[in-house]
Amino acid sequence: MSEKESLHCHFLSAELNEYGIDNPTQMDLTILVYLNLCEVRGWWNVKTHGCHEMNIFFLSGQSSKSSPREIILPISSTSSLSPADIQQYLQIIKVDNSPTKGLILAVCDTDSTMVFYKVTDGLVPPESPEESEQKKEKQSKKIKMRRNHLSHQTQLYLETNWKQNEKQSG
Amino acid sequence: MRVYQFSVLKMVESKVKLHLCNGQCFIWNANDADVLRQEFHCVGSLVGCLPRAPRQNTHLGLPLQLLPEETTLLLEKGVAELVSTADTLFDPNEKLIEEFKAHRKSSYCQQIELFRAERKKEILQNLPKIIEGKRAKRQKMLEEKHEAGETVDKEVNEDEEEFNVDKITIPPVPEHHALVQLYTESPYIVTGQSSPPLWSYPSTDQERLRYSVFKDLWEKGYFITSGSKFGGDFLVYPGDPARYHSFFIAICLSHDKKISALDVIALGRLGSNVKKTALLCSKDSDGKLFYSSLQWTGMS
Amino acid sequence: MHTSLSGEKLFRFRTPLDKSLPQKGGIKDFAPDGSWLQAKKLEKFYEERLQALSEPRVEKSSDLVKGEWNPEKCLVEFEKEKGKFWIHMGFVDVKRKWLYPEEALFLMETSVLEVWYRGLPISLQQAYTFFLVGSLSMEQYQVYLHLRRIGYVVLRHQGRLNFTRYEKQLGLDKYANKKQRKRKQNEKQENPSDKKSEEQISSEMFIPTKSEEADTAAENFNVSARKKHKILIDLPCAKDHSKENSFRMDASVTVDTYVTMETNGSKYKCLQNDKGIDESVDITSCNGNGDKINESNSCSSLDGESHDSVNTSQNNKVCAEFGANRHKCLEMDDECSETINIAISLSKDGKGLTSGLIDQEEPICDTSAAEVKCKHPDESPKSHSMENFQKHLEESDLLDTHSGKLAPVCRVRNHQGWYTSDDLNEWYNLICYNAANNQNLQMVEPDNSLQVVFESDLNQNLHRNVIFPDIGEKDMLVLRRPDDRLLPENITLSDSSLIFNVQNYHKTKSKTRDSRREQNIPYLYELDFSYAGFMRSKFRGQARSWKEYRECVKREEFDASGSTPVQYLWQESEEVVPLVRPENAVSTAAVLQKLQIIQEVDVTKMCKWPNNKEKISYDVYLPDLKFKKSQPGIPNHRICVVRSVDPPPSISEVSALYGYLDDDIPIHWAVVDNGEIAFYEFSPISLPVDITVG
Repeated sequence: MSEKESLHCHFLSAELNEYGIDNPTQMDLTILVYLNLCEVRGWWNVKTHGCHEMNIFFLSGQSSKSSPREIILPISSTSSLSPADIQQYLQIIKVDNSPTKGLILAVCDTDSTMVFYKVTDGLVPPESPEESEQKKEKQSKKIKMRRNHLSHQTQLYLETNWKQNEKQSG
Repeated sequence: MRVYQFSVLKMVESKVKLHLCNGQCFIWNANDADVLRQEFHCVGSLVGCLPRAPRQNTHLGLPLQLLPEETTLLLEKGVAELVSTADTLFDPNEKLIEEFKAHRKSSYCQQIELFRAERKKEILQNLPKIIEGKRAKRQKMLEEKHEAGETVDKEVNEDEEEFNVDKITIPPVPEHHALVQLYTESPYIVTGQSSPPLWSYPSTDQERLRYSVFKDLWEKGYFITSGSKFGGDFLVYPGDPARYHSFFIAICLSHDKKISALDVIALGRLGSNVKKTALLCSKDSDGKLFYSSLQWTGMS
Repeated sequence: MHTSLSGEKLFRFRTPLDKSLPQKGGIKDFAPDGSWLQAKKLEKFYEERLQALSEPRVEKSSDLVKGEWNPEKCLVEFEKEKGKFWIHMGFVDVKRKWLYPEEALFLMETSVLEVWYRGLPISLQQAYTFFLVGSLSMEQYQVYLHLRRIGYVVLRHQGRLNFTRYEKQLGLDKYANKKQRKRKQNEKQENPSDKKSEEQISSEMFIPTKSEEADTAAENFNVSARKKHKILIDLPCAKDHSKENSFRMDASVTVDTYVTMETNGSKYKCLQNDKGIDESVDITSCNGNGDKINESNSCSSLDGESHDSVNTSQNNKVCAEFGANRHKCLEMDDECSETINIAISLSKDGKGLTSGLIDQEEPICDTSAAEVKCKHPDESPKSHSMENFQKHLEESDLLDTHSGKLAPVCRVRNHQGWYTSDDLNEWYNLICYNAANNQNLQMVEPDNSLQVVFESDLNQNLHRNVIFPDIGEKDMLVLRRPDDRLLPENITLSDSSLIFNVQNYHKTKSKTRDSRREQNIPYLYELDFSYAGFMRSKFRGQARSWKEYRECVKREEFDASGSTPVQYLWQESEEVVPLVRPENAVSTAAVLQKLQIIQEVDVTKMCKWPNNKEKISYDVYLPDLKFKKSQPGIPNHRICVVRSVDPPPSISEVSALYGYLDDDIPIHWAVVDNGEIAFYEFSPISLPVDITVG
C-alpha cells in the first residue's frame, strides 16, 4: 500500500472530502499538518475547515489549553504567493466569522518538513527583550518540572520494587 | 534644538540646501543636518571624513548623503531646496580674490595680536618663577665672577631685577605660520539666477513604490534608513537609530508579483535571526498600501 | 565671504582640541518610552554630533601642500610634497607632480592638501562636485575613501600581470618590474606556443590524465606500459625536451644524464610509477656491440616501495630512476666507481628468478664499473673470488668478455612472491664467487625488498660465473656444474644434486611464499586490488621477448576477464560498458578519475575573456612603507565597484574576470548603497580529492 493510499484511508480525508473542495494536493498537505500539530506538537482542539472562495483547506487550533485559537494555512514549498494573495488570505479566511488577526503559514516540503511563519496585517513590532526573557523562563520551568516529575516517578518505582523484594525475601 | 511633534511641520526661515552631485544629494552644513535629524526625523548617512579623526571608519563626517526618497520627500514638503551646481565653481573675479587676500591678511594680523596677548598672559602668570630663575642665574654668574676674582657691584644687580613685562620681545611669526581654514562648505554665496537642477526621482514603478512606502512610514513617525545591510529596502526605527534598534526590515514588493514560498521563509528567517520583523510592503492599483508582518512562530 | 572663521575663532584651534570620539555601540534601548532618561541621552547625542560635525578644518598654512586644479586633465598639480603621502599616491609626468582626483579629495579631507583654482582655494564641497566626473563616480570614490581611511594603499587598476604560470611557480613575479613585464608581454605574443607547452609541463599528473589513455592502458595488462604520461618537469632546460615522453626526474638526476639518454636516440620508455603496479619489466638491453635496444618498462613493486628501472643506452650508460628511496641516480660509465643500490629482479623473459644457472641470452646491465655489494642476510659477508664469478657469468653469457659489460639485470621483487630471499640464497649460493682480490659480494636486504648490490673493483669483471637456468617450462632440469671455487668449503656436489626438480621447487616456493606473506605486515596486503589473485597466476605461454610476453599475457587476461559474473551486462548490449574495470585499479587516484564522469571544470577557464579591465576599479595593497609606486608589485586585492541596484555578477562574468587576470589575487565586489559599503567575494574553489592510500 503506497503512502498516498494510507493517507487517504485516514479519517481526515473523509472529513475533508465532505467540504467538497477540489484540491487534492492541498488536502494531503492539510492532513500532514493536522497530524503534525496533533501528534508532534500536542495542540488542542485542532479542527479542519474549508474555504470555498479560495478553494483551500485550513486548520485551527490552540497551542495550549489556554491560548487563543489560531488559524493555520498549509502551503506547498513549491507554490508561490504575492502580497495580494496574502491580503486575500487574511481577509477571506475566517473562523466563526470573526476577523482574522493573523494566520500561520505552514510551508510543507515534499518530505513533510514543515515551517511555521506567522503573517499579520499591519506593522507588528518584534518581541521586546523582556517578553523573550519571560518565554525563556517559562520553557526552562517546563523542562525542570518534567525532569523532576520523571525523577520522582523513577524513585517511586524503585521504592516499591525494593519494598516488594523485601517482602518476598522477608 | 527642540524636538517637535512629528505631525507639525516647522517653517524654516531658510531652506536646507541640497547639493546634487553624481545623481545623489548631499548636505554640507552641519546645522542643516542636525535640523533634519531632530525635527524631520530624516537620518541620511555621513560619508566624509571626520575632521578631528579622519583616519577611521566608525565615525564619519560631512557630507551627509540622503536617500533619494528622503530628497524627494524634503523637496515635496518644502523643507529643502536644490542648489544649482553652477554656483559652486566659477571663475573668480578680481574683486573676490582681493577680498579673499584681505581676509587672510586680517586673519593673520588678528592671530598675531592674539598670539602676543597670549604670550604676555603666560609670562605674567609665570612672572615670579621667571624672576626666581633670573635671580638664580645671576647668583650663579656672581659666584663665577667671584671665583674668577672680579668684584661686582651689588647695587647694580638689584636694578636689573625689575624689568618691564612690556619690553619682552616676542619673535615675529611669519605669515605662512598662520592658521587657515580648509573650507568644508563653500564659503562663497553666489546670488545666481541659474535654475536649480532637475530632480527626477522616482521615475520607475519600483521607485515609485519605494517612495510611497517611505513616505507612508515617515508620516507615521518612524526613522528610516537604507536596508541593504539586511537585504531589504529600508530599516525602520521607532526612534533615533543612535539610540534604538530597528523594528522592521521593509521589503517593497509589487502587489501582484508572486514570490516563492521558500523566499517568504527566507525573509522570515532573516528577520527572526536579527530580532526584527520582516515587513512586506506593497501597493495596490488604487494606491493603497498594505503591510504584512512576517514573524517566526517559534515552533521548531 | 561668509561662514568663514575670523582670526579670533581660528586662533582657538591653535592647540589641538578634544579628539575624543563618542563610543560606538553601547546598549541601545528597545523602544522609546518617553522617559526623561532616554530624552536626556538623545539630547547629549545630538549635541556631541553637532559639535563634531561642525568643527572646521584648521591647519597651519605651512603644513599644507598647495595644489592647483587642472580641469582639462582632471588632475591636481602640486610642487612640493609634505609628509608621507607621496609614497603611496600621485605620479610624475614630465617633471610635474600630479594627483588623481580621488587622491586629491582624500588629502583634502584629511587636511593635508589645499587645492587652489585660479587664485582661490576650493572648498571640499566644490571639490566633490567638480572632481567626481567622468570615470570617477561617487561610488568609486566612496570605496576609495573607505579603504584609504583604514590604511590600505589603493591604486587605480593597472591591468593584468603578465606572468606566465611557470614564472609564478618560481616566484619570479615578485621581482619583475613594469618594464620587464612589458617586454615579456611582447615576447609572449610572439611565442604563443610556448605558453602551452609550459602549461603542459606544469600539469602535475603522475597518472594518465586523459581517460582515453587510461582506457587504452587498461586493455593492456601492464597498465602504463606503453602509455605516455605527462609528468612534471622541474628543470628549466627540460622545456626544450618536452616531448610526450616526459619523465619525472628526481632532484639528483643530472641533466646531462638525461640529455645523453635523449640524444642517443635510444628508444625506450621509462615510466615512474610510485603507486606501485605489478608490471612486468622489459629491460632495454644491449650487448656490447651496441645493438638495437628493446623496449623497456619500469617495474614497480606492489607495495610501492623502491623500485627502479634500469635502462641502458647504446653507450651502455645506465641511468637508473629511483622511486621512493631516493637513491642517487648515477651515470655509470667505465670510470664510475660509486656504489649503487639496484633492486634487481632477475627475470629472463619474465619467467622469474630461478635458482640455478641462468640461461640468459641477453646480457645484463653494465655494472662493470659499479661496486656491487651482495650480502647474505644471515651470514657475515662472504668473500669469493671474483674471477670465478666472472667466469660463471661469462659462461652463461651474462657477461661479455670483450667489453666486460654485464647484461641488464631485472629487479628482484620480494614479498609479493616472486623471489624470496631463500631463492636468492640459492642463487647466491650459485653465484658464490670468492673474493680473491678484495672483492666482496654482499646481499643487502633492507625493508623487505631485496636489493642486490654489486660491488666490484674497477677492472674486475663480475658475475661471469652466474648461471640462471630457465625453469619455465621444464619439469626437471639438469644444471651445469658450477665452478668449485664458487662452492663453499667442504662441500662437494654429487651428480644427483645437479638435478633440479622444478615442480617441487614451485610447490615449496609457493608454500614459503604464502607463509612469508602471513608474516609480513597485513595492511600491505589490504592494498591488494581486486584482481590480485588472477594477476599472480602463472604465465604458461612461451615468449621469446618482452613484447611477446606482454601480448601473451594480454590475451590471457582478456580471456580471464570474461569470467566475471556480470559480464552479461556488456556482452549482450553494446551500450552498457563497465565504468571501472579491474585493470583500471592502478591507484586510488586512477579509480577516482574513472568514477568522475562529470569532470570538474576550472572556473577561470570556463569563458573566453573579453577585455574586462574596465570592471576592476582598484588594486589594493597592504600598508607598507617600503611600497614603491614605480614597482607596486602584486596587489593583495582587487576591487570591483558596483551599486546595490546593479545585478550581481553572473558566473560567466566572474570566470571571465578571473580568467583574464589569471592570477590568484582575490577580486572583491564592493556594493555601495547610499554611502554604505559591503564587500563580497566570489572566489573559485575546487573540491579536494582525498587520496590517502595508494
